[in-house]
Amino acid sequence: MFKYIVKRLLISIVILLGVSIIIYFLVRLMPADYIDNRFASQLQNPNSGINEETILEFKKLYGLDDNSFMGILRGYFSWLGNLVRGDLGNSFIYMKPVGQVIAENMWISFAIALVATVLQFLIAIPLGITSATHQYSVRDYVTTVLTMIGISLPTYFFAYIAIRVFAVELGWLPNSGLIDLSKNYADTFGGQMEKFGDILVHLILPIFVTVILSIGGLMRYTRTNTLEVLSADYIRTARAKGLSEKKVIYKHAFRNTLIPLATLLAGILPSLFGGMMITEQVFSIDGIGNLAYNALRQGDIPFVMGYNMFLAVLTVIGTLLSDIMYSIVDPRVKLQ
Amino acid sequence: MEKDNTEGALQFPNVSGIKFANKDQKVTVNNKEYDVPQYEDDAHTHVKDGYNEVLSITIKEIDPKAIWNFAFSVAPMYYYSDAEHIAAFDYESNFGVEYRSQSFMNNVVNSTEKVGVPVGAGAYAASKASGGIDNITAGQFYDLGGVYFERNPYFNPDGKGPAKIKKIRFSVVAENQMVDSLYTGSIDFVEPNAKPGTITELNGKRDEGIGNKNVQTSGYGYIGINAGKVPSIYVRRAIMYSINTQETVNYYGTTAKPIYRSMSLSSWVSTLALQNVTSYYPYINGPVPSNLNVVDPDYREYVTRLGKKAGDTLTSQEQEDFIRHLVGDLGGYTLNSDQVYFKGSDTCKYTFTVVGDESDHPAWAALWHAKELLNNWGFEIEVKTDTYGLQKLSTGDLTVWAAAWGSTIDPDMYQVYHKESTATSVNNWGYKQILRDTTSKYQTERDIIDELSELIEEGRKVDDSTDNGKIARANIYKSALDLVMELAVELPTYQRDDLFAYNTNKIDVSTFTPDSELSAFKGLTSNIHLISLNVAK
Repeated sequence: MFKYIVKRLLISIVILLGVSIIIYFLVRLMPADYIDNRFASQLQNPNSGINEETILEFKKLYGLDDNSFMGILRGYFSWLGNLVRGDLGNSFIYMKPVGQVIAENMWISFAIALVATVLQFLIAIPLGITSATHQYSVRDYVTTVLTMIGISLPTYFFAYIAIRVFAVELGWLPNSGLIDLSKNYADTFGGQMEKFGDILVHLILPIFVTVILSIGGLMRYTRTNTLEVLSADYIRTARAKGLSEKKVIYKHAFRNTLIPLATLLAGILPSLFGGMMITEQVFSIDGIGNLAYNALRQGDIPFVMGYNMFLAVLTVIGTLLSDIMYSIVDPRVKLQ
Repeated sequence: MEKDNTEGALQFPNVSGIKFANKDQKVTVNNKEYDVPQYEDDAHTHVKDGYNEVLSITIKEIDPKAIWNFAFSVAPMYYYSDAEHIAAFDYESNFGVEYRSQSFMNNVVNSTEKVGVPVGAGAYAASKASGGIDNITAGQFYDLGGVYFERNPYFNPDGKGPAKIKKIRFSVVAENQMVDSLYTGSIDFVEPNAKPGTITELNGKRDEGIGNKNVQTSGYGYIGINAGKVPSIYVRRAIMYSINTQETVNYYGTTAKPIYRSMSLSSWVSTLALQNVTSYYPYINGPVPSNLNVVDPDYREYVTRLGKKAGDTLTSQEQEDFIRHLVGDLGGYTLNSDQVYFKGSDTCKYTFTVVGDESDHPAWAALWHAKELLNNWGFEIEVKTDTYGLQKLSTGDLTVWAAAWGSTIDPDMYQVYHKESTATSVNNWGYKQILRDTTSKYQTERDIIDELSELIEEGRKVDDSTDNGKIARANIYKSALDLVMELAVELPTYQRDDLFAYNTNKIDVSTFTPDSELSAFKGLTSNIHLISLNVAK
């Protein structure tokens, strides 16, 4: 096992290098870089004092002036050299070290994703099992149709409907942000608890939207696995022994259904920390996803690189964990 | 002004013409007398109530826009200097700064107390969620999507300060969530896009305490044509005739007006000299305008020959004949095997670009319909959006595009249209190609630009401090604007309003800028320190 993990980690380094090269070149080849975006409107204002020479000077300052193959390659190795020294660089738009921006903003995304994932599992797995055990029943059809609707709805569309209904019409929940700006949160324990409570209330809608839109996939996955397990020989044997249906399903079938789900759990690592670009944007939450979206739009190369490498590392670790977990939950699988 | 590029020297020596006018003797400005100021303290840092320090500024020659150039914001010295230089300030020769010093500038802008935190002497100062304005850090100032301000206790420019509302917060919300945030009460004042649907919705909420008001903005929308990519002036004119600018106005409904010359309706030039103008290139599928003296002579001659009267429309065949006359007869283009006009290396295959992400844009319908017309008459037009359109515009990479101008209070046109302008905005039109060309390809354009440049220079030398001076200057610009139209590189389309929506239950709307004072340059909250709440907060 140890040898396998070391081998996988070494391969991962090569994968991460490949990923970083592809991402760096893609970002550098975007039609407009950070300086173009930053000064586009000023360039259109003849009285702004910004002209082509100024732009060129800024590009030189930011290392964006040479977009030839060799220029980009030099830029990449410069970025890689800094990375090796543990420096992800400074974000152009957030004006802070990339590592700091990620560290400061990933926790809110993580909180949303964690709660949403737990709820997603708690809702989707029972639904999948009940749907499978009542295959082709009204319950199965209703569950399947509703979850398919959930899968099919675009995030922004469903989010706006949820906002319209629960925030605007019913007034039950806030529509965006994380805190109530009309409040003065004192720098006391009580004040900070009040702020924390407000954050929780503000997170209800984003979590609700995330859960509703994601349970469909997991529910279908569970349903398929359960159906597969229910047709296995050992289930027939259990039934032949005269065990109750409840015991057959929850003692024999359910545990085996969880084997592929365990691997799925490890694979969600990047989504837990990586943020949700659209949801965070709709709800104006300064999570890592929203920040990454803005950075990408504005050509913030250090942040885009840092964020994507962060995701790539999480993905590599997640995949490795997934393989390891599979071998743990299913003794038939051997890692070599 | 002559530049002095010596290290550390004033770049414009005539800035030394700034004098403390009433230091030793009283002065009269705009019929108001200012006595020698008296001070609260020996250091002369606080002027006693009822006194003012008056500055006089001398410039070398007539420059009507100079008054606006000197309309600077008052800023405390810590805004642009540091402790060491502030200590050296002496009123006479040391102004607390090192001129033309990169290291001084870097030290100031990178100092920790200035990064991420606004400084200045405005009505509000940076604050934090629990209140207070001292030693605010960037992390406190912007916290969880909120930006915190608290009134500046020292702000009292007109004896009516400090600000009435103690705390103001700005919230970061998605653009399409703005109005919903107002309805839910999480925001009290928003500036949404002034679309008819939004206004109708807001009007329906008046009983629920949601008010709204629209005020004309200073800029205007236009459709530009790059002469570098559409070299024939007649082809550019043909394109302009096929665009129904009224469609861009319709996009905004009652909150936009048509604009017929490249000058903001908010400009005094517009008020004095452009009241009776109509479209220089009337929409070919629209009614014939009543005043044919202000339209392109080719159009005037054509409709006159056809015996058309004001309000008449041209038949499809008449429209097509006119466009083909412009492109074929006057422009010298011929049809290729695909029935598309060409001349030399230029084929009438062009892309019309809407700058931005989506087709929900005031000019989209107008450009789309222009495409439908032109594609029947020997053109091959494509209409598309371009996220990076603005960037491409600055490098002259777009052929035909829809965008909007901002506008300053002075009508000077030098930066945008003068032949010696070094502003990047001249790249849009293809000025470089026109001016660098040594053949007869752009001779007509060059002649127009020469004439235009002379008018612009003339306009800059008119003293417009009197009514007659204003009228004289306005008339110069009227002629210049007609030349811009003749050049056929910019088709002005609409001038829209800014929309403000607010919570009337919370804000005392009677304290907003009065309607009589509202303008493109003075908005609803321009005197933010005078605005108060209905309920004490």
